[in-house]
Amino acid sequence: MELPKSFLSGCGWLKTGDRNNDLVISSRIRLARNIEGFPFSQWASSSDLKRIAEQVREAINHSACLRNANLIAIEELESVDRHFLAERYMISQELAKSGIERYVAINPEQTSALMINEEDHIRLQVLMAGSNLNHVWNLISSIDGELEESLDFCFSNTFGYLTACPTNVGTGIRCSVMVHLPALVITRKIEKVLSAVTQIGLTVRGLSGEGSDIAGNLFQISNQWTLGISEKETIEKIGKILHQIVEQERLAQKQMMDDNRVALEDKIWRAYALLRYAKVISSNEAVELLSSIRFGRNMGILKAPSYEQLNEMLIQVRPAHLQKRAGKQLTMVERDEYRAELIRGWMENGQSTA
Amino acid sequence: MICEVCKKKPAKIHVTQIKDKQKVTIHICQDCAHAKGVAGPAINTSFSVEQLLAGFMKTQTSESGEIANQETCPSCGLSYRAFKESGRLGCSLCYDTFSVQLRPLLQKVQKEIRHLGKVPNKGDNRTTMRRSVSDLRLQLKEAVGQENFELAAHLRDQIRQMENQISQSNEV
Repeated sequence: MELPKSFLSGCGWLKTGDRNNDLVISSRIRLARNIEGFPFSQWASSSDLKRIAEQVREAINHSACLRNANLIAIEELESVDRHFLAERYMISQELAKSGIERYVAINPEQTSALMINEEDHIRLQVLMAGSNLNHVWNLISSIDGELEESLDFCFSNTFGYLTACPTNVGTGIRCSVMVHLPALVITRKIEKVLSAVTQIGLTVRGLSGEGSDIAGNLFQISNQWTLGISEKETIEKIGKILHQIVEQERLAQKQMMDDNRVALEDKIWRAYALLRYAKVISSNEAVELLSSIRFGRNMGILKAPSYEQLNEMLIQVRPAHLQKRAGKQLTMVERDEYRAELIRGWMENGQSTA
Repeated sequence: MICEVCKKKPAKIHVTQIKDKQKVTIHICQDCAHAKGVAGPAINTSFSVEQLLAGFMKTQTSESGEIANQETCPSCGLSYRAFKESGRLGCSLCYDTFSVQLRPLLQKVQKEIRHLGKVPNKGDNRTTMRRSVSDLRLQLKEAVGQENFELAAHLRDQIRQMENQISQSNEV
């Protein structure tokens, strides 16, 4: 099975909403739902998985928001295509590794994705650029309502929506925002900020979700609690914390500018020079250098690329994206060269990343 | 306060352990804490769900532990032991079956045991009834646990009645 042609250009959700936000890269919400009458996916037989998938596909056909979605059978995808979808956050790493009777339905705008037979029967997510949680919630909640018309979700009055893992039970919601905090990291204030965050039922993760390291000064802030707290309260809480963290980052940036402007400009122009002229760039190095460029934009030291282009580069330099673009398998060495070549081009001429 | 391990840096982490009913407190600096594995790297504050569950469940060992381990869900056949190992429940009924064991876990990882979010607003009677049955089963289990047999008998009759209604509406 081939991925839809439209997927091979830019990353759809990065072109939505608040796409030129200086610090907040994305807002994402996912809901976990299961269907009455079947064991949870991990314990379900292949005939159960098949029936679950049939029911969900039927519900998708009745959903105005998802009717035009591309339904993709994970089993029929090449390995590079699975990674490609995971790299742009359309499917989870878990789903990428799975196979039989696992599907994802992705709308043409690539803002909504519904995974079938992941850890829960349904993992629905809506993802948009910038700081946009309220908008994302309105959209996902209406899709959830549409699905509920045709599906019988596992629910109890005490425990709410029932999920395979007790850490998702209740609202089944995970809201996360990805935020870039270079000045807080450099000034070593980040530990204090993050430990405060974790004390109020929120968690912080790196770029690629659970268990991943912090890279490129990018942090994902998400809720931990799903029971004993409503969706609205969860979203408000993250919004409030995000606002505070963004303020702290701006303060730290201003202070750095006042304290040592030359050192800062030097750091940013060095990163710029590497991206503009280097012949070999690893994935990690690209993430770090792009972080410096973004920081340079924040400080007004650089006028280009735009934040939207920077976001896009962050996705396009990933291994599976490089290989799809090249139209062939590349070794790690070849990838590092190709990555450097692409970035040189973007930095040179107006940065059209598509 | 100076770190008790390196005796150089200021002690910023204070670990209290209860061992053989004796309270022992150690004061150490951040570096020594990392070296000793007391605290993770300061920035990486995330943890995996499995670690959390596994860590928590290890503490749940009591005489009744073995019995609890062997309990299985009548609907999907999952044993509590299998849940402990995988961190994943088997089906929606597992929440009733293992409610006694799950409550302390939920109290630890969640804000409180009370759903405050969205409720499915579908007017399907059968669904609503099935949800009520599942809630009644929970109450029944609690009543039995508290040895309130009068209430338990009443709940049991209610459940039977509703289940009959559901199966009748299935036949229609």
